[in-house]
Amino acid sequence: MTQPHRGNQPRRHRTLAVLVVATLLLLGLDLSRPGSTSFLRTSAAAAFGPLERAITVGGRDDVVRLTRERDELASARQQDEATVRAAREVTSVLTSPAAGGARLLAARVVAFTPATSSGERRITIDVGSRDGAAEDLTVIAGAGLVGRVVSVAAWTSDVQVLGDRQLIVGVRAGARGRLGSVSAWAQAGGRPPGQGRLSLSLFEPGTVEVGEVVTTLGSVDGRPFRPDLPVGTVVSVDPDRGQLTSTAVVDPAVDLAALDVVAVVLSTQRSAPRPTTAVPTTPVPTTPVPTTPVPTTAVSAR
Amino acid sequence: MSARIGLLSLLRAALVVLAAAFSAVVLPRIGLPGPDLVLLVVVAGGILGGPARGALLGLGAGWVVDLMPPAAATLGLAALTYAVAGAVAGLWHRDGARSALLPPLATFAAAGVVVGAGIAGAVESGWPVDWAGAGWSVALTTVVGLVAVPALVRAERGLVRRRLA
Repeated sequence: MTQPHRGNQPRRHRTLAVLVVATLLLLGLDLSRPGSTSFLRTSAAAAFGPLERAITVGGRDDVVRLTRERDELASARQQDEATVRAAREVTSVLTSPAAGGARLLAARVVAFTPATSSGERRITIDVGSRDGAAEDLTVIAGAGLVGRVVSVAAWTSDVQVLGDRQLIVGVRAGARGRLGSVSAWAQAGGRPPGQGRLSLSLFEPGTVEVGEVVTTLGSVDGRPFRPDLPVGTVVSVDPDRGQLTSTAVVDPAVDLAALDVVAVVLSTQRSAPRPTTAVPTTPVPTTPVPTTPVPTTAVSAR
Repeated sequence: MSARIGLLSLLRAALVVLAAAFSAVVLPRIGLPGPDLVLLVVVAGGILGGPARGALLGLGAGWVVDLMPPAAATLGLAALTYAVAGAVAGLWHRDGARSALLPPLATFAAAGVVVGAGIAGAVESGWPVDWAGAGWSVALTTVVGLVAVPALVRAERGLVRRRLA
């Protein structure tokens, strides 16, 4: 204070830094939660609107009024479009075949693991234990599997996403349902799958073909993974170099780089008992019956 | 004296939290493999305070990085890594001379420590190493540090001087 020339400069810098940071914060808030900064817009409009109207030179009253109404309607339409888009995303998740009649908890992605963290891929979603989220529940998007819940707080949860190097998912590949596993890195000496791709490793040497769909195998009680969720599509099969298992590269069904609306699968357990089949106890007929093909439920051979 | 240190620590803590939140919320949506903003705050603190204070600041900043949702799989790893990075940056602490070369060198070394720790972890666990991503991360952090670290150092020096005056 005694040396104003030396003292003012840092204070100005500090003020500038604080203002810039505040601006960036608001930018981030606006980007991540559209509509959350509407209070700023409305108060700014309340403050600046009359001023603008007052200094509009030469504008006739009806022109000014009509222009204002047109602008208001345009901005309202934009808001509506954003709302409809969000609603469409939610609907696509909730009505996807992957949902399969389960109870779903729609959630929005709020944060990602920074790119500076090598190999970890996690997201934070805006539902927590108070909304009913719990650990080891499956998280899906409209197109298929996203990941599993790994930790739950009161209002947010962390999700381990496909592509995390610690996540290995048991899968079935192709129409014949060959067993295998999908991970972010090539197991058993396969080729590295590359950016944004996953590596499929079959348990037995066999063939998968390009274009075949990979679905989850499912876990006990559907935790952490529900069965039959689309994981991705085989885009290339690694050449056989004498390794123990066949490997292939899988393109994820969900665009993992642009996650926005996802859903936590809440109920995976059956509420009704599985229907049993009564075996007829009538004595075996002595006369040969015509052999009609009996429809059997094939469980293992999919 | 204690009030000055308190204010400076508070400012750094706020900066670290902001940088970590920004890296988690905004940078991934832009789609950029962003620079390590938290590390830049740590490097500036290390250059100003020396290895010990740099390590202390790095430890705290690393904990923020670990705990900022989505939290890391292994808590404490980033804290230790950033502590080492802060100490390394503190090696470029000079009392009198203020060379323009100090900040970029310190940033490069500290970024090398953080990325090197990640590579060591991947190698140790048998995971593939993303060399291109590692190099890109070091380069980008150093480039941003060219501007940000001197600005931070100047701001903090100015703050200290003003409070002393």
